[in-house]
Amino acid sequence: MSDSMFSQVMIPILHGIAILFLMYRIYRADSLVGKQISTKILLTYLLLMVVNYNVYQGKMQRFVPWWLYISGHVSIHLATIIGYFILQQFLNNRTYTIGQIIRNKVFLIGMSFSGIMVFVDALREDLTISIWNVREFERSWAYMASYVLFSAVLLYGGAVVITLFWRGLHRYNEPSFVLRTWVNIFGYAVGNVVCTVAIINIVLAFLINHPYRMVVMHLIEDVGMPIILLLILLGSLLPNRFYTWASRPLVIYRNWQQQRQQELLAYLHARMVQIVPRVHLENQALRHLRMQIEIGDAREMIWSHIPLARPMKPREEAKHLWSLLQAKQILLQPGTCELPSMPYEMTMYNIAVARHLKRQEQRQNSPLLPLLRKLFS
Amino acid sequence: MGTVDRVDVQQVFVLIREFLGDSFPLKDILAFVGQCRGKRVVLQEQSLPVGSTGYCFAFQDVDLIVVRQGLDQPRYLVACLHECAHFLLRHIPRTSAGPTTATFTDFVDSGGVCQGVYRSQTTAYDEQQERDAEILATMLIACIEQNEAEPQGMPPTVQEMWG
Repeated sequence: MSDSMFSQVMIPILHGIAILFLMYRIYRADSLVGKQISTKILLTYLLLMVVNYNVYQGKMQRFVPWWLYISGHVSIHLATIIGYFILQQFLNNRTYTIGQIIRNKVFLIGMSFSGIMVFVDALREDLTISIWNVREFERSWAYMASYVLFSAVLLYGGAVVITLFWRGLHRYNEPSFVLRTWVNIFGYAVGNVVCTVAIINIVLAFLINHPYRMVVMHLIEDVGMPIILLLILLGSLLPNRFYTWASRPLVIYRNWQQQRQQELLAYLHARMVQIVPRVHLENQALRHLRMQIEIGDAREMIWSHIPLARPMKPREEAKHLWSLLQAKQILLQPGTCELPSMPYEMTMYNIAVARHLKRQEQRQNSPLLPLLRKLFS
Repeated sequence: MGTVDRVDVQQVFVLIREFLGDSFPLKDILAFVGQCRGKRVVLQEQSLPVGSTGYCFAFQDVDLIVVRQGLDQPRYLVACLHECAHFLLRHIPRTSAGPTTATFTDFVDSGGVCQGVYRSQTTAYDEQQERDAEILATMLIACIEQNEAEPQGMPPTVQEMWG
């Protein structure tokens, strides 16, 4: 099966699977919200069927009526923009009425550029000539502008969708959801890369008629498009059961990371309490809760003896702590210097200090150190 | 100030959880203190000497809690809760300076300085009262943190759609 045939078979199959699956979801949905969302997603896939048909006709060098040609391009734009609003409902529980969608900035920007593309297409003499023409293609400003606008709207739609997903990653931390989100982000990111490559390709083809035009087009259509569609389908249609199973490595990694971070905090706490024992409250049951508090109290005491013009970095603090530990210094009273405001997320800052301090300690205790001293003495 | 029997920290903690639940925001515990003491609780941030993170003082009409400016979130919470714990554990009488204690408004207008009970790293946990207040504050922090950091696993709509 040639590359062209592959994408021409693969993409409609993927679409078909998505449509059947969505119809099943609508039938089985327990709630009105579930039915509504599935219906909206189904609508976007139905819009994309128009595009499929047009792309196929275009590759076969067959005639496509002007209204179908333009409908295909506008459909894919509409599908991308509707996808944004569906995602808003998914992630932020925000539903939009048709009036609100039409007045929304994302819709207005996307569909305005789509409208300009339609206007430019209307100026073209022959809509059937495309970049897929093997020998020569329509090297007119109108065609280039239309193609660039087409890709630019998809690029914009992809960017706003990725932004929504990205914000979702910061709000929700369930591993299955995180994995699903990354699959979607990757799908849309590949889409944006493909659009960018398409724009560069058309511009170069227009300016210098570069010889790799068709190769790039084949890569876009036969490799890029199926990957994009597959990733978006996987990200939007697979149930949570699959992602719960697939995210087990992420769960294991997170648990390991949390344990490691707790060990580092406990290490730093033990060292700082060595220097400032008065901040430590003897209570084993509450030890895990008190670590960050006592680290903060100890830090204030330690740095109150040294004037600081700016907040120190983790490595600097680790170095100072190490020097105090080496000197076996114990601080019982605060100094007079105020600690500058620390513009860091304190848990991660403490972990960084602990890492640097541990490295100092490991270097000091390294068996190579006496040998190095002997060599260089 | 007359002597009072030492209030059991664990008992007070259990009572608070019975009243406020397993997790609650800081404002709820401040309101609880106000209800117990029959006075409004005022929480302020001020510049305090190095080594002190907060103090509390009982005026005629208001219980004042002052926390040092610029503390990071865990230390801010523990400083607030430490002072709340002093009130809840009955370390502070109804009025800190006896019957002649001013009202809060009079005090602010006069620009005076009050001798409060400090959470200080100088004296730290030398006294039993300070240890008890710090223990209760630490236990309460777990409840506060639970509430504010309640993780959102996934969007409810996604849960509903895909199980």
